[in-house]
Amino acid sequence: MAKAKRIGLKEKYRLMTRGLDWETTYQPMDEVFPYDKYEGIKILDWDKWEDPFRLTMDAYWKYQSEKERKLYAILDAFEQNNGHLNISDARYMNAVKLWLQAITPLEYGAHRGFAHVARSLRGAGARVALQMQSVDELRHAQTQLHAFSYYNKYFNGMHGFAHLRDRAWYLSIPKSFFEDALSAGPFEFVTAISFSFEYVLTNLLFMPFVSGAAYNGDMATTTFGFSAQSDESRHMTLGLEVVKFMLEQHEDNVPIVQAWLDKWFWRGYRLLGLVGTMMDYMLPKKVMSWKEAWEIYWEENGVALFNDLARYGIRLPKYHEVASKEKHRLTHELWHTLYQFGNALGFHTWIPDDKELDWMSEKYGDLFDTMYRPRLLFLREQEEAGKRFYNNRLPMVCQVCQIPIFYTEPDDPQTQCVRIVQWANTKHHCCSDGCADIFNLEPEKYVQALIPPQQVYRGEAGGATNIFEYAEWLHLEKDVDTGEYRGSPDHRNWEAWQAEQPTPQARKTGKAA
Amino acid sequence: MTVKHLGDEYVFESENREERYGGDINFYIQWEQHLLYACPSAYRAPVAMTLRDFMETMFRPDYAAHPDTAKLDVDKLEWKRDQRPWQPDLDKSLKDNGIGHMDYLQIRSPGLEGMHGVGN
Repeated sequence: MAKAKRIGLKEKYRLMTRGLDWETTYQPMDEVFPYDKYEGIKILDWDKWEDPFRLTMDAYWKYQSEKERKLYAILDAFEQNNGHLNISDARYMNAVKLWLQAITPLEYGAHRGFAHVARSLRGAGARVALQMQSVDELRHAQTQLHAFSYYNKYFNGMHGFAHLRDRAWYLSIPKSFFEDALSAGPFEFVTAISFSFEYVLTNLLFMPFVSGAAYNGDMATTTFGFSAQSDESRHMTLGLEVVKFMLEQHEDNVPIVQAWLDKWFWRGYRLLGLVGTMMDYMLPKKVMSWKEAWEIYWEENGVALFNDLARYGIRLPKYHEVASKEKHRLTHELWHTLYQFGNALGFHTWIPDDKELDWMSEKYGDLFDTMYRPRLLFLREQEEAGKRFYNNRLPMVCQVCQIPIFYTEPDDPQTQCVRIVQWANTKHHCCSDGCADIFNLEPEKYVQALIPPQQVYRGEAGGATNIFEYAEWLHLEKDVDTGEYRGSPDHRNWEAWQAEQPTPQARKTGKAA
Repeated sequence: MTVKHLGDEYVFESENREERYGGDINFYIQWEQHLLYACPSAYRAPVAMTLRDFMETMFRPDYAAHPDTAKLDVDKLEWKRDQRPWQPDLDKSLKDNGIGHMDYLQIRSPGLEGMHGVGN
C-alpha cells in the first residue's frame, strides 16, 4: 500500500483557511456581514489576504498547550520557592498592581474585540487569523491573572481588579481606550489594536515591562511575558498585514487608514505614559528611561516603519513631533499627578531616593534638574515634616484620553495645556491638539464619555462627594491600598520579611526608607 | 465631521449636560505658575455663590499646601475665562459674573509666581 503523501505547510494552510466559507443565498451577504462595509473600506479580493505565519488551528493548539505546561510549571516552582521574597524591593510590586489593574483587562477586551472582528469580516483567511488572536488574548488575560494571583496573598491593592477597572478614575484611561476601539467598525478596530498598538507601540509596553520584571527578580511576570511573546510577534505581523492589505486593495482606503493611524498613534502614545512612568519611577532597578525607550522604539523603529509605508501614500502620524518634545517631561509630570491623587489609587506612590534622582538627572538633564528635582525635593521635605502632599480636589480630565489634564504646552513645560472643544452647546476639555482633533472628527461619540470627576459631582459614584468616599466606593482602604508607600503595610511587611531572611542571601533593597 | 454608523441616525446628548447638576454648575480653575497642583481643579458649586466665597471657602483650602497660598490676595488676581482675559466682580455671584457650566477659569497672581523660579 502506498504511503499517503505528507502535505506541505503551504498546502495545509490553504486547505485549512480557504474554501471554508460560502456565498449565502437565503440572505444577502451584506445582511450576514453588516459591519465590514460601512466604514468605507473597499476590499476587491479577500483571497489576497496572506497570513505570513501560515498558522492553522491544529498547530495552534499544539504550540499553545506546550507553552501553558511550561508556564504553569515555572509558576509552581516560583511559588514553592517563596518567589515574592526574591523581588528587588516591595515598591516594585506597584508596577505589577498597575499592570493587573490597567493592562490585564485590556487583554480581555482584546479577546472580545478580535472575536467580534473575526465574525464581522467576510474573508475566511482573515477570520482564521483573527480568531486565533482572540484566543491568544483570552489566554494572556488568564495567565496574567494566574501569575499575579500569587502576589495577592502578600501585597495589598490586588483584591478587586475587575471592580476597580469599572470604577477607578485612572483605569478609565485604558478602559476608554479599548472601548473606543471596540465600539468602532472592524477595520478601525484592527488598525487600532493590531497595527497602532501591537505593531507600532507594543515594544514600548512589553520590552520595558518584561525586562523590568526580570531585572527586578519577578520571575512570575517574566515567565508569562515570554509565554506571550511568540504570540505578540504573530499579532504584530498580523497588524502590518492588515494595514498593507487595506492599502493594496483600493486607493480610496488610504485616507481612511491614515486618519485611523493619526488617531490611534496618539491614543496609544497617551496610554503608554503609564508604562513610561512605571519604567522611570516604579522599577527599583531601572532598565532604561522612557526617553531612551521612546528614541529606540519610536524615533528609530517606528519612524522607519512609517517610511516603508510611504510608498502606499502613508505619512507619519500627526503630532508625533509633540510626543517627542514631551519625552523629557512626560513621566515626571505623570508621576507627580499620581503622587498627589494617591488617596484614590490602588497602588502606592513615593518620592524616589537620592540615587534614583541622580539617575534621572543623568537621563533627563537640565529640565529635570531645574524643574522636577526641586519639586520632588520639596515634596520629600513636606513628607518628612509630616505633611505628605495630597491634592484632594478632583481634576479636570481630557474628554478623549480621559487622563487628568496635567500636560504642559509642547514648547513650554511651565504652562498647562488645555484645549476647549464644543459640540451642541456643551463645552468639553482636551489635553492636547491630538485629542482635540480626535474629538472634532467624531464629537457625537466622545460627548458620551463617562468622565470620573464629573460622575462624582453628579452624584453617580455611589453618592461619594469627595475623594475619600470615592476611594471607599472603589473598595480601596485608606493608607493600606492607597497613599504613600513609606510606612504602608506593604513596606512594613517587606522590612519584616527581609529581616527574617538568612543573611548570606540578603539583597540590596534600594533602601525605601 | 460626524461618526460613520449603521442605522438611520447617531445622536446622543452630552453625558455631562447642565441639567444633571440640579441647578449647580460644574466648572474648572487653574492657578498659573503653580504646577505643584498638577491639573486644573474641577468644582461643583451653586450659581448663587459669590466668586469671593468660592475663592475663600473652596479654592484657598484646596490649595493650602502651596507656600504662596497663605499670601494670596484674591483682589489682586489677573483672570481668564475660557482662555481669554476677563474681569470678574468678586462680590457678585458666579451666575452674575457670567460663569457657566464647563467654564475654564485661570488666575495669575503677580508677585506670587510659584517655587524654584519655574512656576512649581
